[in-house]
Amino acid sequence: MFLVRLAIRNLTRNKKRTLLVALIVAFGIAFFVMFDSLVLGLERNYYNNVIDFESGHLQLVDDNYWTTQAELPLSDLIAIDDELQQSLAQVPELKSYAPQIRFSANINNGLDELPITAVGVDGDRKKDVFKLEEHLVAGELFSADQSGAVLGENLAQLMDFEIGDYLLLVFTTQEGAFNTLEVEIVGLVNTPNPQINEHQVYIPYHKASTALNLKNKATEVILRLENNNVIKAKEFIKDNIIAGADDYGVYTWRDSAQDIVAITEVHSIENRIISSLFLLIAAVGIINVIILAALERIKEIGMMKAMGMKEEGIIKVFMIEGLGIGLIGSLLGSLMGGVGVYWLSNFGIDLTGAIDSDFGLPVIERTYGVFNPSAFTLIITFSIVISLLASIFPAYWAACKSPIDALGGTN
Amino acid sequence: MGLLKLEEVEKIYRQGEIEVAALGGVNLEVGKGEFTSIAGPSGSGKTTLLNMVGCLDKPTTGEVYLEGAGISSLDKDQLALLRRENLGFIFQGYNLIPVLTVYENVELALKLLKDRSNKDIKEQVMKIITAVGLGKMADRKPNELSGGQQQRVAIARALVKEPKIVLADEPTANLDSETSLDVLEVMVEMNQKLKTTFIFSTHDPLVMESARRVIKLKDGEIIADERG
Repeated sequence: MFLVRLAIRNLTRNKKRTLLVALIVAFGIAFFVMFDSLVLGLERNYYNNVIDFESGHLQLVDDNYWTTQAELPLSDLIAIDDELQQSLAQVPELKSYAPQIRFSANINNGLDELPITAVGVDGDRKKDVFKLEEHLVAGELFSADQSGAVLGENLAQLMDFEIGDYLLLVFTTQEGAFNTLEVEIVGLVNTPNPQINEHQVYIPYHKASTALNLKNKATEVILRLENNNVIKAKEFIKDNIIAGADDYGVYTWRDSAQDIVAITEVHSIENRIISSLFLLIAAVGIINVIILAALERIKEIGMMKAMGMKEEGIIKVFMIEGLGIGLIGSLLGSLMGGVGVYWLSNFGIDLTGAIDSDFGLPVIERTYGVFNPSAFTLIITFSIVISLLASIFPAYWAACKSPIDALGGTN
Repeated sequence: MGLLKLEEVEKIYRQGEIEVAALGGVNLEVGKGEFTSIAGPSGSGKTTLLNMVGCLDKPTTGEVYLEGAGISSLDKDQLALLRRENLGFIFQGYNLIPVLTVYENVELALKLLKDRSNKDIKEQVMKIITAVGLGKMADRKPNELSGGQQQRVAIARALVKEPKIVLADEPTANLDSETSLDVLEVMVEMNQKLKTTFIFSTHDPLVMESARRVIKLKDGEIIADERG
């Protein structure tokens, strides 16, 4: 305890120097937890976007379609028969399901034409599976027996469409024949998902099926659960619905968001690298502080060694000082980071402008931070270990001085 | 054999290719309770001799015996242990730890020793601080004390563990004559009261006068050993 007391008192000898190095540690910690909070917030928003507007919680698809779905093929489809629909209704914790036909089309306003993704979906089921209704900015969503199209507000503005206008979809059927479909625009949406706002047009399922000549086949079936417990539902579908159909597979929303998982992993690595740089600077600072302290106290070290203190005792004192700097930095960093995460969690930050940057994920709503206690634990532990490690070398250097050399000035 | 014995102690330092003999074949015996001064001009080998006696350094040849046991074969940890248990040091520059109080500076010496209860430590520390006349200044920091008072703290720190020998390197060099006398008085008093052996280097005639034995060194050799 005496050595601890001595080390703590030693930290007060040059308060400004101690505080400066502790602040560098603190900045590293604060940066890490805030960045982590932001990445988790973005990740949560994006995953919500995927679930709410693209994949639901689960997708039932043909395995071949899954691998080629980016090309929006009209092959390897799912047959939507009564038996399948009855079975799907049995899925545990199911909120709703909706067969969906996604296909490539061009939208035409009589003057201009743009490539988009057209989605044929049951109007009534769509309300339960996707959260489009919450983001309706004009008109209404079509019901199962209605006709009409719903598209993103941005796309409508780009094509100069308004509610009540007719849009023309130009596409190729399953057989490769060109076809067109003229539909009245009944609703405009503005979702947090830029993909939906700029590139997607929803039309009734029966209209898409007929126009594409798919005969009760869908590109996928979207399943929305009451909660995010996808494992149980996935196992049920595997065991009871597609057990005999080798071509079919069931995929979770996380499977659909693989690209984003990779992006967020990159962000996590970036975060670790930047925070590590802060902590590296802090480590150099700590080494510097301990060396300066050892030089300033060289005669005291000599005196203590003359009195019989072993090298390990001297090393302990300096390491406790390094640890002390790490702990002060951790405390300050936790406070700074805690305030930052609180601010991010409550007030959020608009990263819409960063969508096209390396940082941006496709999310156009305010991003709110997520409080992640494990990030605090991880970075604080790391900082303390770094502080301890950084103090070992100078502590050892100081402790190994012979008492005569250390006392040299007194002779 | 006395408390301390030096037998043909030689210390040679190397400076590049040049060898400098700081001590050349010193023979010396110091008994328990002696109050001995090692005198001589600068470069005469006083400090080197004290370093040998204080087990801070080993002789190039010869042997230092403490209570009959040679130190040459001891490693640095064993030497540290030996110093911890048997020797006290007083330095010219006091070498007090500025962030510790008078009490804590003295306490440090006892904290290095194992198996002492906090109650014993407190009693012992207060006793010695009182004995050197600083009983009411136990909570002060070194920067709140005069040079003489700081040296008294250093004396208390050296004596608190009741060592066999106290070694003092120019203990009054940084003090004015009045304070030097004051500090010397404390050392003499402690020597008489505790029967602790004192060996100190000096070139101050005032200090030499207080010593009952004066060993004079010149060019690393003893040229006189006078007992008063």
